[in-house]
Amino acid sequence: MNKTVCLAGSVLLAVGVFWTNVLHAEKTITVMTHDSFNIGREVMANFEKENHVKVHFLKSGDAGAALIQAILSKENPLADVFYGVDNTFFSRAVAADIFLPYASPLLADIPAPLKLDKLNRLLPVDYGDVCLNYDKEWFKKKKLMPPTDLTDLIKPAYKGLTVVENPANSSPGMAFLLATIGRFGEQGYLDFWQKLRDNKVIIANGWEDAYYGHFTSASKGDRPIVVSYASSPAAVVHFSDKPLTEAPTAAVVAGNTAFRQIEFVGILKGTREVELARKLVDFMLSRQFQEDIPLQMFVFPANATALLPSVFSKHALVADNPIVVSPADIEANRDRWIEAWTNVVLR
Amino acid sequence: MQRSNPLFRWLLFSLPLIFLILFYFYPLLKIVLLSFLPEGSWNPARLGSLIHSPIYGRILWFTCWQAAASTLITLTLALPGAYIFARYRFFGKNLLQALLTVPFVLPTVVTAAAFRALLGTNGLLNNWLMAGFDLSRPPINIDQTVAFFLLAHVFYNYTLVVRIVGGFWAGLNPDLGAAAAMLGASPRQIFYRITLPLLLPAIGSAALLVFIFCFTSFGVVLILGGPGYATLEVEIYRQSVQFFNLPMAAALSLIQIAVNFLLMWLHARLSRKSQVAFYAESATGTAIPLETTGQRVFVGTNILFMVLLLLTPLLALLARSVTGEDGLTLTYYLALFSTQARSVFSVEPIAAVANSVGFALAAMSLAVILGLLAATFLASDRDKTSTGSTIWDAIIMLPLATSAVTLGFGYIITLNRPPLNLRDSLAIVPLAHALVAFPFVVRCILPSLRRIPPSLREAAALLGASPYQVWRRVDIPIISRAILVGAVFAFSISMGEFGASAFVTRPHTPTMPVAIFRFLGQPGDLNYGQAMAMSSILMLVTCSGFWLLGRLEGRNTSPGLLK
Amino acid sequence: MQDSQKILEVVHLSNLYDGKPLLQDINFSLMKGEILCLLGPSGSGKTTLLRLLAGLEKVDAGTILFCGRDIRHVPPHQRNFGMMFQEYALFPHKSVQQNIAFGLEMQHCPVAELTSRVEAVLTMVGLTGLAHRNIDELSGGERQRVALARSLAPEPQLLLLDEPLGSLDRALRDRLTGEIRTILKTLNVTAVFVTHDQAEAFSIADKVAILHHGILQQFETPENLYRHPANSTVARFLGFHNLIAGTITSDNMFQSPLGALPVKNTATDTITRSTLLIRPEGARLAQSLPAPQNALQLSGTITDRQFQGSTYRLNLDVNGLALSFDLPIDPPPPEIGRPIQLVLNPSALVLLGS
Repeated sequence: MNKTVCLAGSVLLAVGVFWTNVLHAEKTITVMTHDSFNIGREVMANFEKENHVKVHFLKSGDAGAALIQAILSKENPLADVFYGVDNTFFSRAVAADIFLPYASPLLADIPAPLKLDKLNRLLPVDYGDVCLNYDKEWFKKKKLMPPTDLTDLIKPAYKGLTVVENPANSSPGMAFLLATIGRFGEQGYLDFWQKLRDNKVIIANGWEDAYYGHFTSASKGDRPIVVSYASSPAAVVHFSDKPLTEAPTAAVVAGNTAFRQIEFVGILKGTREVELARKLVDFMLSRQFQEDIPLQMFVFPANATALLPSVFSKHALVADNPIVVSPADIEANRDRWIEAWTNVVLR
Repeated sequence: MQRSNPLFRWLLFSLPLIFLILFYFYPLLKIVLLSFLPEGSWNPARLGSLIHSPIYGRILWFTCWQAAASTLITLTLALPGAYIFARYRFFGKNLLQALLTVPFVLPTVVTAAAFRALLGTNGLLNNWLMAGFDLSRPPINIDQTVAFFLLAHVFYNYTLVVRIVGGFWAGLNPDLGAAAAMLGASPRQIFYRITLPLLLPAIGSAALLVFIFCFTSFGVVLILGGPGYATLEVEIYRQSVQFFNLPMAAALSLIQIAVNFLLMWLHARLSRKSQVAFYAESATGTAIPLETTGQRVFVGTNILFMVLLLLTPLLALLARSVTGEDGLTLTYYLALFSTQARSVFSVEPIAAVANSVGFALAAMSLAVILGLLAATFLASDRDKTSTGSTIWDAIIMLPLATSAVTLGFGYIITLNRPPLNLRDSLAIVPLAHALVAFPFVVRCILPSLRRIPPSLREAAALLGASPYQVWRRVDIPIISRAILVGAVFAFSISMGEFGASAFVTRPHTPTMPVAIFRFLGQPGDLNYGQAMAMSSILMLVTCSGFWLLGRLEGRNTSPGLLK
Repeated sequence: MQDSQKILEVVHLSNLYDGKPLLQDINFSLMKGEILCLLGPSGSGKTTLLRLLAGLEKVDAGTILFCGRDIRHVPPHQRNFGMMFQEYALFPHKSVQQNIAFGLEMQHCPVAELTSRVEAVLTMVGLTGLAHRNIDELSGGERQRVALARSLAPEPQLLLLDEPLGSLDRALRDRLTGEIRTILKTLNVTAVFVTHDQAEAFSIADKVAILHHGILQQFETPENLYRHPANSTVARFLGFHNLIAGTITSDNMFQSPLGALPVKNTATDTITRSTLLIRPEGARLAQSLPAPQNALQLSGTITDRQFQGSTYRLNLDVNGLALSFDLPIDPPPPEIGRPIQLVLNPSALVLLGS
């Protein structure tokens, strides 16, 4: 009998879960986004209160998977707004023709280099520089100069020190591959990678695996150099067990070493709430939202008027002269580049 | 039921069938069609390399052999474990069995972290060895090797074999072995000539599940084996997400399904042929206390192995969750409960536990009901030569062998209109979990259901029991143990959220694995520590759940079957 | 009888389960070709004793000698004993032929010989033609025969049978009991047979061992057992009801509510408490025969009278004691409620040990 009771209980619970979902009937707006999206509770509550609306977030896998699902559902969109297209997927998103143009007045506060779409279907929200991070303590202990440039990685002294992400599965990995392509050109990047491979680089599956699985500063790993973000040292300080005055890791942001990822928001075609969607986009570009971005997602706000939190201004860096590869080039060559990279590095 | 009425059988099966059509065949068919015929016309251009490039052949070959090797190793290591759980009573048996099921729910990244903490270049073992033998380099270097992910596959699947085979084994009549011994068979001969043939249906079931599980392995191979190794599942992900080559992804998905279908069909045929009905006693009647030194040594060695392989990584995790820079600390647990409120997506640990358990219970109930119906349907066809049930048996297993990416995309384009507008509904989560869990339940129940001799049912019918009463009072009590095993796995599948859910677009409902991933997504000691703390809570919740189930299992043996 | 003929000797055998004794200090021996029945109620330890002989359980104390050799440490598969299990334990994945051939295969018997031996035992148990049947296609009686055939095929030195007829109906049981004895005697197999059915034991056994609470109460031929049960436990188990408590006086008289009855007493001349058994078939109606000198007589009232075919079963009240007797149908005894006088045969009076 006990079992019957258990079973009945769990069925009731299941029904309950469905029911609560059916019951809410308030006006809503839905944002489709990738799994890494994050924003403050109070910030969103302010928007909801002002506009008498409930904002739902649909998390849909990593950036690539989320975008594909948005494209696949364009006949009958899942959401009103899509956040999280980055410049590596920019052309694919634009080509799929799933966004409505919207020239938000707040675009005026955003620096021109970030605004990639002349038609304003995709509006920049934030950016982050993918670059090398290293373990300061490790280099001090070994009395070795920390790396300052990509070419350091292939020097004999740096043999077996680096871990990078697989560009086929990871967006920082892809960004780093693009950095090498932008830096060494289509002729030279494979040569660089061949040398990197000879120098015993580890290719990790994704950022989590690289950072927490192999990086000396974050885990029991044995690699003091990792591909991460220029803002990562700030996050390390912010999420430290105890107050730190100095970050234990540092980012390499010298010229021509980093690739800038820009993330965009867009209004999905087919939305029934165009007005609300526009308000939400405006809100996402406004100072309130923008100033919350750094400590939620550890990237830089696109809006130049947004003030940075102190941990960011102290410990986060912006790359001096980031490497640029145009979105059109990326989309046209992605398969080929990854394939060639895979052949050189993995096979 | 003795002359099973075809209409009645199909009525039983209608519910699982409708479920499969709605949540499996329809989405799959639609995404495959959309992929192959994007504008309504067939365009093979993007499929060219499938034939021309040797890469896909290599990937398929790698996928097959690593799955076969993982299955073989897991079976070899886990069969002695199944034996001791089936035959002996010993202290802490229940708890040990609960602990062994914990790996099943751990997210891959967490498992990887646990293994590296133990066996990595800077891991505990290497540090000890280096300190103990005064070595300058770490002696164990298995990170990013085949050995590492094979080890992890054993870690994940050990419990599957122990539970399924052990449950079945406990139901074997010990007199059969004694009878063989009296006829001059040595313990070895008894095992090979009597026990093994009788266990085959359960071993087959377990092996099939392990094989499919490893065949579709994604994170384990990627993270522990390194990017040099890629399964079909990984390639499907890359083709669809990175290259947006949906035709290729669909073609690879179909290959994956076809290979597994072939295997499942073969298994279904073999298991129908080898099925024998035999009267079995319930487990508690046959488990004996340890008596001889030989038994103690055997059981002790096995337990030691389980502890080393399966429990030390878990302990390493637990240790990591309470170790900060300055030694022991509860900082991470406190942080879980305190500094959470800022993000829209942050969640109280209690809420994450409640969400996980709620979804898992819902998915489990659904999977057990569907699995029971489907297994009854399959078992009630006692004509060993008919091909109908064999095909259905294989079809039921398909969801398990289908790429989660492909199916997830299928959901996006099909479940998009009322009354099935489930894409952004919470219901999609338990539904997707149940779809993956239900084949597990069928595999757990079917061998036990098939070995009930028809005479038992006939006897009950002659005593005046209606078909329902026969089912409720004869079948269900006899297979109650198998049902519980199935329920355990359905629950774990949902708790660990493996497979399907990763690619199902979902409204924000933070479960424990989701929370773990959120912490692991950003740098910082506090994030890592909280991820470990949340993983430990996941382990604890799972373990106590299984421990309770184990106690239920112990009590739930019907006295009528005891000697 | 010479010692060399003793095939099985059990000496001071004890066995514990969870610290509680299941068997205590069992001693007996068996000659080659003899059939021993272990008789006792459920829980008496008879199956445990059988499994100890088989080597399936661990001996805690004492010795088992087979052909003079201590076999305590010989594993069951090296003993060349046969065993028939309570539920037969037929291998469900093997056919009749394969089940029977199993023991021969274990002895690496050549194929030709194996086939003919299986054929022979099948004929012996009357199952010719069923060799290729599956086990689940057999009836209860057929399974029982297959189990017997399987245990006999390797020609065991000792055959152990654990309630092999337990689950069969009465008629089939009676027939098979006879058949089993004939087969065992033909093959001259030494056998130990466990049962809780007294009639079955008497019709099959050369020797009967009565077990109660793990203690061997009596070890005897069936006839001697019936004539002289060793104590009231054995007597009760054999189905005797007329057990009368009393005292023996120095003049060899048994004093009880029935009066003073003369008994043969080997004990000393002190007054001792004892129990007297009066076997039910040892009485005749007093008027049916002329009473001999010193005849033992009983008077009472009939409380019940059952016609049982060859006999009448009468329940009497004799001075407040309830006794029952089986009387021939001629002459017919009086109706219920009428007084009756019986003459007792002195040999039907057995003084029981404590």
